[in-house]
Amino acid sequence: MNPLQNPTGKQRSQRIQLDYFRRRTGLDRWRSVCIVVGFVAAAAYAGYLFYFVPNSTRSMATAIASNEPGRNLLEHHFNTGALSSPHASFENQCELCHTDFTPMDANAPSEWFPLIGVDADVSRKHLEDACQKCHQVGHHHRSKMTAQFAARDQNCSVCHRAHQGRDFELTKIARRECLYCHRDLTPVANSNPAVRNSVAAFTKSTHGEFTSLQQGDSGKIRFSHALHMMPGQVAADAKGGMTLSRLSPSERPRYVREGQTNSDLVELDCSSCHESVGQSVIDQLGTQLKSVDLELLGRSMEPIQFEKHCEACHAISPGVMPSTADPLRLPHGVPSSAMRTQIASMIDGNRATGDSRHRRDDSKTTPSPGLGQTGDRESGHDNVAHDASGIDWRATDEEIAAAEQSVRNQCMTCHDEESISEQAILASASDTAATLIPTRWLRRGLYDHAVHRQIDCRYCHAAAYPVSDSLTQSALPTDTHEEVMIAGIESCEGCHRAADTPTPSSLQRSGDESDRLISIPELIGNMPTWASDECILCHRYHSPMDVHRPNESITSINKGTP
Amino acid sequence: MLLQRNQIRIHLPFAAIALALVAGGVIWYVIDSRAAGQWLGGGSTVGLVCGIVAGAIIAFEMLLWPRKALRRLRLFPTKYWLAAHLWLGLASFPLAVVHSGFHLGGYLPATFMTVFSLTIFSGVYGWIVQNVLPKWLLRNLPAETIYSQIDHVAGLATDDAKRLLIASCGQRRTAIEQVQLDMEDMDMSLTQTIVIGAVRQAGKGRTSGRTLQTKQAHDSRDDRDRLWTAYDNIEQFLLHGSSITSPVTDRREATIWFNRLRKDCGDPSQDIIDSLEQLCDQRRQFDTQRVVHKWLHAWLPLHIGLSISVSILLVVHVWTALKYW
Repeated sequence: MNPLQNPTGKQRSQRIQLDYFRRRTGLDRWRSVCIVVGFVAAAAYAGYLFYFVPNSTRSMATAIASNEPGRNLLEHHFNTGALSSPHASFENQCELCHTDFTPMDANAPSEWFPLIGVDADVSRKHLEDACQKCHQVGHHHRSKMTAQFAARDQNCSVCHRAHQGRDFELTKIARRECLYCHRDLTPVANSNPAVRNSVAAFTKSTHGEFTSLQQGDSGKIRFSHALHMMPGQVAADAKGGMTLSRLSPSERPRYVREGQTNSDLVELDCSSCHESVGQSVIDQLGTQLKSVDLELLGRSMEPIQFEKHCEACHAISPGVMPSTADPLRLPHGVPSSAMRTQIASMIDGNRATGDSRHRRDDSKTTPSPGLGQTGDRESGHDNVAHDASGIDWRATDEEIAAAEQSVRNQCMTCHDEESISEQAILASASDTAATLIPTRWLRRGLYDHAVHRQIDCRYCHAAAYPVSDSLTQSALPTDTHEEVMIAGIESCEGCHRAADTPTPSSLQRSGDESDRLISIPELIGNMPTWASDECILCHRYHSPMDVHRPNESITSINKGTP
Repeated sequence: MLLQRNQIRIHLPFAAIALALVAGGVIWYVIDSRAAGQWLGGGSTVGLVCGIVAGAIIAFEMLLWPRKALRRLRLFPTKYWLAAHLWLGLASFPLAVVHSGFHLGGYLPATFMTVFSLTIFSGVYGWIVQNVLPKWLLRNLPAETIYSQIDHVAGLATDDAKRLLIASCGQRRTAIEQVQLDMEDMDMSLTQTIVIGAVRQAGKGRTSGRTLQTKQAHDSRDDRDRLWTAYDNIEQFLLHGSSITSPVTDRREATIWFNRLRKDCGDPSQDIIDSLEQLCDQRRQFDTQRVVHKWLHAWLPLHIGLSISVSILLVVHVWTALKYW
């Protein structure tokens, strides 16, 4: 419109262009740009994921070793997190554990999957088989579980959570995983469980006493710990205590303490007989000991061996042996038939070498080598041996029988009749024979002596110690082998407790006379009084006895179970 | 969509549904997580259900697009559809967070969640500004016009100003020719009422509209040179707004400048100066409107673009998550 012309009324009212909505503005262009960019960017990323990533290099080992995260495409794009270091080489091989479009998530609604034709059992078994290729462990009483919980047992990822990062410990299983079933086993087990039905925490009331301790001592060795912990291994008012001089010279250094002379009484402590597995190896290394050798120090104690721990004082003797520097000893654990031969050989041998005398030899003179006592021609033995001077020095049947009885009496000091019978001794030679002293006590849990080595033995084994060093013979028990001298769960739960609970007063108690002047903090080595109470500290899940059966499905195991 | 008292009946049902979905999902999630002793992920029963619901909501939200394309079919009243879009869209975010188990995971789910969060944020932003800025515009910019017509209306205003000057004091003296002097007389005789713009006026009740503003031309030929010089100074500003440096670009400086002009001119010219000042003020409102309009509408293309990305990433996420479940 020409500004010089006066506008018409219509022109005046048309202050806007009627087709204004058809005209593109900057905002319209901005919308087009956003739509195109949004579509292209997302589509390009999707195309990248579907085309390039599956075709990417599978040299994961190289990528991990060279710390090139850019090559780890699957991990970065699809994974919910990196696999732990031991499994990092499988990072790009999802199919090793995963079954396509078949869930293994333990919390997935597996019971609904059959409705859409998905069998989660396939996925779980695929994973279990994959794990079993390297980890040959059995399941956890799966045949006794209902189908729902058996499925959890089969699903390794329930406890061993993958994709939690490189530094994640797959075997660090939280207590909640155990409590998922053990809080109440009623819906878990097919029948009445053989174990406590409910365990909620590590306290005596919620966990119960250690089952192994409730079963008593199955050992058959008569033994008094208190007696052996007394000086000379006799009561304070008894005579004939074991002195160092009565030990053979080769054994003596092992028992002598600083400042003791040969006339002093032998004083034993726990380490005299009990040593950790691997301790002897470490001791032998001496100055050659390396830090890695300390890994040899085992969790449990070496079994008690007669030859190593008892023979120094309880050497088996036929009763005719002289006290030479290092006399020959009769072997331990030998059947009576063989023992008879051993006894005869020993007597004859000693006489032949001049180390022993005939039973009636009271000449007090030193016999010549090779000579025994003067001949006993009146004995009437036809098979007697004679030396050059015609003396008969072979042991007679009566001598052997008397020696046998003497040996038998020595055996009966620790053993009962049944244990030293011919059959029992022959059976004990078998590798599968039960030991007369249990090698492990807490069979359902794991106690690690090595990590508790700073704790005084008395804290857990107080009953093994005499109440006082001045106990008389009448007050000293001669046999306490039926008494289990391991403290119960209350000795553990003081430290192994929930993190948010205060230190119990029992751990703060100062020593007094009744505690033999040793306070509880001293007994536990003045260590911190809190430790984890996770189940996995003591218990293990997988059974080595239950061998995994490939191609066996949960549904086939638990068919018909509620 | 406005969220005000008279629209509560539209919003309430959908808000209740959204609240029920979120509360139900979160409570279920917390209960199951406590039972499991960990924050459950998207593969769990509750995580999967929350994820499916959130995914279904995303799909429903995207139906707004075809619904708009097929608006001739009048499938569902827009106000209800949009209310559902708003409230269910809001509910989808906490459900997605619950579905994720508070983990972003790998690049794909992290990207998906980030884009989804931006989409929700842009939508919430848009909802807020749409409830705030239009009211502000209505209150503070009476000269507001259609955004795309700002340049056109600014051109009209420039023409109005020029016509007002011609009608009041004739053509520029330097450009006068005989013919124009004749026209000047004609203009002076014919052009008594000049349109100088249009403003929005609210009528009684709910009626409102724009009203043309007119001005009676007075004889101001005594100030012809001063007024034409003043026009020359403000013409570019009237056409192009604040992008031009002029004595009237700034409101405060403009007031001073026009006051000085008023002192220099006689009484007949005062109305003309008022009109010029009014046109300059209108132009400043256009500039403000242009800025506000961008704040008000620029989010929507962004929201749409992000929504498209979310839809594509959702499909990829579902596929990969189910494949490696």
